[in-house]
Amino acid sequence: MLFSTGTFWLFFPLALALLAANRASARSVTLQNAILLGASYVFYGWWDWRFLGLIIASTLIDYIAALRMERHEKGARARRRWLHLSVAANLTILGFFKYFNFFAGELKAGLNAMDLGADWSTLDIVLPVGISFYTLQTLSYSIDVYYGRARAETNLLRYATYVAFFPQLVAGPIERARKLIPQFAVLARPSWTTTYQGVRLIIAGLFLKIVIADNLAPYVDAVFTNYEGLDGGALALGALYFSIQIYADFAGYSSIAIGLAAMMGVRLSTNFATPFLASSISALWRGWNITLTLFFRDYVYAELRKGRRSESRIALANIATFFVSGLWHGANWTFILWGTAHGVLLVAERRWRALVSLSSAAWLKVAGWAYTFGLFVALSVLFRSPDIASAVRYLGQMISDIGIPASQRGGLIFVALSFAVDALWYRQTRLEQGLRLSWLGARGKELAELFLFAIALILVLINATTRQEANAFIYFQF
Amino acid sequence: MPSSISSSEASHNARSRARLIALIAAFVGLVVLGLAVWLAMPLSPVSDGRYLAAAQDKVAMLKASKGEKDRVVLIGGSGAAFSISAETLTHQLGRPVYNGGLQAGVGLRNLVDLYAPHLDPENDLIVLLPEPEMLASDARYSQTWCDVIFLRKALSALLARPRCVPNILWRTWQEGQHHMTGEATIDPVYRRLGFNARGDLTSHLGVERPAPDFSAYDHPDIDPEDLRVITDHVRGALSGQGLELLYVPAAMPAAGCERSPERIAAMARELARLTNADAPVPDTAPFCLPPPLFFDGAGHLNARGRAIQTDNVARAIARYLETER
Repeated sequence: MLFSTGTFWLFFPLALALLAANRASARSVTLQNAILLGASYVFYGWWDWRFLGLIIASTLIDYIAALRMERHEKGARARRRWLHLSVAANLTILGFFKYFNFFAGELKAGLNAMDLGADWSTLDIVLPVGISFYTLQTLSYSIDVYYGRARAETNLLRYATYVAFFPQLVAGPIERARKLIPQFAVLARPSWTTTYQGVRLIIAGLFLKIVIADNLAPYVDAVFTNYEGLDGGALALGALYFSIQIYADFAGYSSIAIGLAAMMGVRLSTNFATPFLASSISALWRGWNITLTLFFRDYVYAELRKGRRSESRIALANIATFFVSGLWHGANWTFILWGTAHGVLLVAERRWRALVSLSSAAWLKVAGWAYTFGLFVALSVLFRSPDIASAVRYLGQMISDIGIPASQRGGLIFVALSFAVDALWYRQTRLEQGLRLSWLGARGKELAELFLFAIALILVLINATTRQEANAFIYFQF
Repeated sequence: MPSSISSSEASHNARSRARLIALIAAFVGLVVLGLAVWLAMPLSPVSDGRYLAAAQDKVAMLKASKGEKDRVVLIGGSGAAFSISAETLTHQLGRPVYNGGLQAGVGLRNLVDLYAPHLDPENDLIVLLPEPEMLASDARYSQTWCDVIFLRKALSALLARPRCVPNILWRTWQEGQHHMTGEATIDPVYRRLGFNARGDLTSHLGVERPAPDFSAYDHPDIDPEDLRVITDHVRGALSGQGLELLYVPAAMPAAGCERSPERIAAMARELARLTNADAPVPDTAPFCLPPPLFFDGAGHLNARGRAIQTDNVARAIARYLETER
């Protein structure tokens, strides 16, 4: 079920009504969690009910493993064994569905290159939606329990609700157990404040997704499918459009997810904080898919660095972490190269900062922004291209033939809109954040916000109803 | 979320509730304002001259001729408008014939609902000629139908299809732009004034276009259940008020007929039941025509093709009238 379809907007009020009925009558936490879990399974099963089995299996494995881990002392062998079992099970499920064909294909190509005649056919494996997200969430739970950073949850219903909570099930934010599970231990009480904030986040998210990302999609598709016949300017626009599209798509999803949860009285983590206004690569990553970045920082980078402070170790850990992040995004060398390149840039930036001390002059910030955004846009070609050869050709043609684009300029309006949203709603997925309109005075700000959100909602409806089919969120494929 | 609420939180909550109500009110207010502008703003020459604006004229034509003895009303998509001459049929059959063909995207059900109040059970024979595309795109909320509502400024029709509201607001916005820029360009073929008094489109007759390429064309695959829903609706809306119905196949590219004969047969079988339960399934072969007879797409015939299809329709109606007598 997509947030941007009519079906979801029939489903969600029903879930809200059931929760409200429980609050008004039974006031049962168990019933609340049963409603949330039931709704989450319906939400997921709407796409393909067969893959519910995977979520349930993943839930049970980590639930049992965590309980078993807690039975043993820290450092005990059995405790480690249960962690290994949990990690291995999660990575096996993820690895099979996401990477089997990639590695089997690469192995086959390698063997054939050595004239060893590998001629097996790859399996037709469907990637279950959201598997990369909920697997990381359950993994983080097991690891946190192992290190004693979280308690093992004894209540299976509560734990299952944590794993499957539908607003963030398929594309995050990736929530830590210690933050989300306690919210399912009490009766959630959405207030008018959280409801209002939730509604605004949902409108903003739908605006980003339906008005900006979905309108840029045809431009991006047109450029990337016919790039060989286009001039360098149009190719640069294509890369720019794709960067904005993926940002608006994913930040939009996160915003809607946080808003939906808020309306149910559950608080989710901020996942985007205007990354395209950042003036360094490291700042960009602090604002892009924050919960995923934090996951990789805490569970991959920290493990690789192992507390060592040498620059070479830090550099290696950074690059390796981004390599893993690239691989997580997809089973393709383009994603791996994209991730690794970001890791290398981060390391280079760190070295540069250690050598040169810069003032905080405005022009330096602008230059930093241009370098950061420019590199992100250029590297996004890797992210969007089907293979490295196509990406290299695309980038080569773009650089050698750069100039005023002869076509595809219509999408610039959506780029401008995206920056306008960022400028108006700095760190837009924070619940409390209002628009940056204080220069209008308190009354003026309130009125302007009111009308901007109302107009945004009208534009969302216009775009949603005049389009033939709703576009899936890009991050669903990861 | 905290379970105990302090007084400052309570006042914050009350403010949030007021803001939420204000947001809803602002949204509703803007929508109402947009609709008021739609109703008040005269149509620009671009919209007033649009092909679809002819819906208004067709309704007026049916209204004005209601009560004419032995009237024949053709209902179909643009295939009927482009490819049949009601003028010729009037002479050939000796009965007044009116062409209600409009556009496939409107959908058969919406078009039938639009014309139903202006049909006369005492005098009319309704000839249904939906092209496969019209049945495939039959949606109660089609954008084309929303456009018809917009052009007719039909508030009551909008209330029956509230999901058209965003479309109406969008069109109103575009309309404002047309007024401001003075835009007045209208397609020479697809225009309101391209129709004659009998409802036939004639603007394409003097225009020569290369024959369309139907090498990859196939008739749309229509779900039998969907088709049943459509025919049930049409039967309820027309036969239900005592109108006499006759199904005649629309003109179709021969390539599609050769590629998917079973789709055409299934469609004809179901639609033939509109005539009456025992009506023979019409032979679709004469309606499958080669590319040189088409103007610019499936269903749109040129002058030569139009003469052939008009003749096909005349024969089908004559045969029906003979049987009925």
